[in-house]
Amino acid sequence: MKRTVFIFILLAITAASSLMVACGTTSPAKQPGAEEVKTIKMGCTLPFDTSLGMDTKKALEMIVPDFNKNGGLMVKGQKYNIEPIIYDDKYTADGGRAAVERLVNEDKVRFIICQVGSAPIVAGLQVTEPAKVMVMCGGASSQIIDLKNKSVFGTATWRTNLAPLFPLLKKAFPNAKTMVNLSPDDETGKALARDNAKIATAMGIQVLDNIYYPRSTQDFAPFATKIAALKPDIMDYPGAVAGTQFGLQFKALYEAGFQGAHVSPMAPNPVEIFAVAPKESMEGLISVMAATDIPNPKPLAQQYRNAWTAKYGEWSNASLNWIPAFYAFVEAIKKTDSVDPEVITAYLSANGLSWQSPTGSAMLVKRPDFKNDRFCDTCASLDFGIFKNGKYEYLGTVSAEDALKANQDAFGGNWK
Amino acid sequence: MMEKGENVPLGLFIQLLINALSLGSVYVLMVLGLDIILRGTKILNFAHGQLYMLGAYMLFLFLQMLHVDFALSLLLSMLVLAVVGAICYVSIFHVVRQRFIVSTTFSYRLLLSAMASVGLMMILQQGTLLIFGTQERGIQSPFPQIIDILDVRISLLRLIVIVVSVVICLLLYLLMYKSKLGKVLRAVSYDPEAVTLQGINTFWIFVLCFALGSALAGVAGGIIAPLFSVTPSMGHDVIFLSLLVLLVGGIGSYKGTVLGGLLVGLLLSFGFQFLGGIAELFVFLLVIIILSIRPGGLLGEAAD
Repeated sequence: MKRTVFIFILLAITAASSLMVACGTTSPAKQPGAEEVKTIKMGCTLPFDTSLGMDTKKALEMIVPDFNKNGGLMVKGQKYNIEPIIYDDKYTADGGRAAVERLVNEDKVRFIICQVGSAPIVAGLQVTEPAKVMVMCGGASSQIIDLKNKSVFGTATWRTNLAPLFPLLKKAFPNAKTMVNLSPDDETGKALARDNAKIATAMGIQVLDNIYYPRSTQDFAPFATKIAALKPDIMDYPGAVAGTQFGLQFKALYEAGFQGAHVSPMAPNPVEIFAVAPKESMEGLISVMAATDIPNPKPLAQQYRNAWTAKYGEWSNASLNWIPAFYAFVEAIKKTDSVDPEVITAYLSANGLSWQSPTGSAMLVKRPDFKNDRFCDTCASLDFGIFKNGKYEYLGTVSAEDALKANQDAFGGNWK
Repeated sequence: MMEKGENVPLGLFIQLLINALSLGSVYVLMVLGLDIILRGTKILNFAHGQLYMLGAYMLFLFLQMLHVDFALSLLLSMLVLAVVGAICYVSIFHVVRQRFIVSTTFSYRLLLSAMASVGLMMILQQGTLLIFGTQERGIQSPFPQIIDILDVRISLLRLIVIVVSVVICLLLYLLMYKSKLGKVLRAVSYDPEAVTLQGINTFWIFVLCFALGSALAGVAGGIIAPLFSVTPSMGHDVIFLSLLVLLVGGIGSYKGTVLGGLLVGLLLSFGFQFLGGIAELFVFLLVIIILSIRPGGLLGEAAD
């Protein structure tokens, strides 16, 4: 009997201690004054089947943990770390909307940062705008900076980098008179083709045709044959992904006998381009150049490149166009000393923002040409290059202020 | 831009023709494979596009990563796909067919097999994503030369695509119409029960049909890979156009398949030049017109 009671007591003690351990009551009491770190959820949707999507994902997975490790954010005396939550948007409106709904409704995200493609971004705005979720994104569509949107900021330079680029193009190719736009037949491509045609016409260049292709196109031979028959002096690629598909376009045009200049608002990815196209096909390309690839890059750009190669090995510049949104986001929180998206949005919309990122300095601007008096778009410092004699040569850098001036001259109105 | 009434320059015409033939010949290879499987095994294989994609990845693996010679890489891609096709048949479709009983209707058999092929499509797609990742892969053209004759610039690789397709079509013709095995394959497509009664094991014939069809998809994907790029989603677009080619040419007609492939290639190439982006719509329009006049396609059995 005694033995049974003893075993019973022993079992009871064991069960009680297990329960205490499970409930954590045996853990040491929290030290007074120990810092409690809160988390800001930062949502993002990216096309996982493209290099720019995957590289941006890799970039966020590299810079956000580094940022947290280096102290994170301090807002009203409270320490915050950033937690990225990234879903695949398949570069489509449907995929984008579904991913954003998941972020907003399931993950309770209140900031969506670094999205890439116009179609998913514009579709996602139908969810983020009513929920007052702040969005800082790439995407070329002018729908992003539409008057009706109040909580979105375009932090890439797609809508503002052609105005400073075209004078350089005219200087490099003074006899160029005609141009053809080759764009994807989606929101990004059509919006950029419209804008580019507007700027080209203002610069005295006649747009012979806007040719649209489905974004998944791989065979550009029919397009190239048509373009070669039109004999334009300049080929423009608004909205093209500057990697493999860009290479396929160059290759097809080269094979069709096109010998004019190429212009691109996006920094090309030579590794992917030369994987499918001969070097000669890129001859005469004048474009934005990656800030990391210019001679003597700025420290932040060099630091970014070093961190990338240390973590991933081979350098790829595809993420550079999209990550400035993260730096703008951090700067916006610091500037407003708030993690409330409504407070931040109201401040930025009224006062604008300047920030530094690996691509250089940037600032939010108004878009009076779209009758939008809110700081909603971005002008940034831009590095330009030309592909000549088999080499990509640095042409020069235009400051954010000069880019702003070029755009004001081209589109009119006061952007500040 | 061409003005109304202006003649098409000969150079442009030849250029468009080469584009059409190279594109069309890839469709011919794809659809011949699809047709062999459909006729022989009565399976509408929706995963055929993914087999094409896998062929492109195999070429990328052999040519780009293992630095094997192009012709050998293409042959190896074809062989790998034949093995993959055979495994797919044995492990999936044969198992599904085992469940059929005598009273299972033909349409129900076709539906179940097609559903199984949709499952296979997903397995192949996700498997490729896991192994090769999501990113596009580029393959440098093994024949970058451009032949420049009288204002016509023709890529040597495109000519090789056409020549290889013609050679494969001829070999296939010899196999199907001039060999004993071809006779068996054709007999199985007409009446598998009668073939079984002749003492021929139809299981292996079905495996062979699947292997042959998959090999053709593999060679189509492999040969096109250096012309374009290799992506996990490249099979999606091609399968729907291939099904259209099959309908245009006529199910069960090899000549019809060749004719359908070339017709669609010509329509896309010339259509884009003169009609722009709506050219693809004309392919669908063509299918509707042809099917309303000849329900079996141009040279299909139902036409008779």
